[in-house]
Amino acid sequence: MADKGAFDGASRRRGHAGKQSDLLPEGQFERRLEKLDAALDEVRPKPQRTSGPVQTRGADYSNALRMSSEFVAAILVGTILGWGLDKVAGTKPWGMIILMMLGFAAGVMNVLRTAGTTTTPQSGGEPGATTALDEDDD
Amino acid sequence: MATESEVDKVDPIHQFGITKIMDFGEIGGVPFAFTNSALFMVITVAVIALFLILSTNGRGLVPTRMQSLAEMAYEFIANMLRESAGTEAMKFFPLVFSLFMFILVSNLLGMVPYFFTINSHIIVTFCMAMLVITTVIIYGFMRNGIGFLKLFWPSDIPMFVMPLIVPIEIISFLSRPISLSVRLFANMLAGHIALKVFASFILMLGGFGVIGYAGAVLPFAMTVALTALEVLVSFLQAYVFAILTCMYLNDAIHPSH
Repeated sequence: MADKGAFDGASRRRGHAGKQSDLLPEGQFERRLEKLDAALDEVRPKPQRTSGPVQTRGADYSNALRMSSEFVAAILVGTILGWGLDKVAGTKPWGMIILMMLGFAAGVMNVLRTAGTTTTPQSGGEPGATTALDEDDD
Repeated sequence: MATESEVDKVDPIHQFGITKIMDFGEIGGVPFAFTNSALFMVITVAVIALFLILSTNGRGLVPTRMQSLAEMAYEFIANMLRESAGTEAMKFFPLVFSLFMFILVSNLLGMVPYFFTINSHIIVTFCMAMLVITTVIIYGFMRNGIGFLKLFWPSDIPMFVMPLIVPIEIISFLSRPISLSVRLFANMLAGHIALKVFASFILMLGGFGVIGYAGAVLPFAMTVALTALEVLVSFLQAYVFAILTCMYLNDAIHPSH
C-alpha cells in the first residue's frame, strides 16, 4: 500500500469515459467496439496482443504444472472412490483395484486432453475449441 | 543477523503457522477467531480494491500507467474468458476476475518477508476450487437441465466402450477440484519451504567463518534465483487457476463437445 499515493497522484488527469463496458447495454457496446475495431484496422496493422518469450515459456510451464497435478489427482480420486465403495458395499479388494485403474485411465486422459489443447492452435473465440473430447484418441 | 542459537532452530514450516489475532471463543465447539490468515485475506482484498478504485478513478481516455495496468488486467481475463468459453460466459467475468486477482495478489504479498501466504493452506485453495466446481455444476444443470450429463457421454464413440468411458469421465470430472486446489496449495507451500531451506543454508555456512562465507555465496545465488522463480510461479498459478475456471465454465455452457 506504499504506492497508493503514487498512482493516486498519477490518475488526476481526467478525460472522457474510457472503459465502461459494464455500464452500457452489452449489445450496443459490442457493436460500437466492432465498428471502432474495423475503422482502426484500416488505419494501422493490428497490434500484437500476446508477445514476448516470457509468456510462451510461462504457458509451457503452466501446462507442465497442469499435466502433473491432473494426472495425480485423477489417480487419487479413483483410489479414494474405490476405497469408499469397498467400505460401503463390502466388496473389499475389487472396488479399489478397479477404480484405481479407472482413475489411472482418467489421469492419462486428463494429460492427453491438456496436451491436445496445446497442440491445436486456439481458434479465437470459437467456443468449445479448447476442450474437444475427440482430441484425445490420437 | 542471527546468532548461533537462532541458526540451529531454523524451521521452514514455522512461517505457515496460524495464530489467533482476535479470539471470539468457540461456536458449536469450533474455535472462532480472527487469524493471521484472515488478516492477510483482508489485506489482499483491500490492496485489490484500492488498486482498482484508485487507478480507474481518473477515467482518462489516454490511460495513466496505473490505469493501463488495471485495464490490462481486465482485458487479460476478459479475452481469456471469451476465447475459452465464448462471449456468453462474460456473465461469469466477476467470478473469474475476482479469483484471479485474489490469488495473484495474495501470492505476491506472500513473497514479502514475514508476510503470511494464504494459499499455502489447502483449505483456502480447496474452498476456491469448490466455489468454481459448484458454480459449474449448478449453472450447468440450470442451463442445460439433464443435458448437462452429456459432459460424461462423449458422442462419436462406439456404444460398447461406454461402460468404460463414462466412469473414467466421471472420475476425471471429480478430480478437477482436487487438482485445482492441490496444484495451487502444493506450489506455494513447496516454493516457500524451498526458499526458506536455501536461505537457512546461508546462515549455516556463514557460521563456519571465512571459508563459510565463500561457500554461502552458492545458496545465496540459489535463493535469489528461487525468489525470481517464486514470483513467476505466483503469476502462473493465478493464470492457471483462471484459465481452468474458464474451461470448466465452458463445459457448463456447452456440455456436448
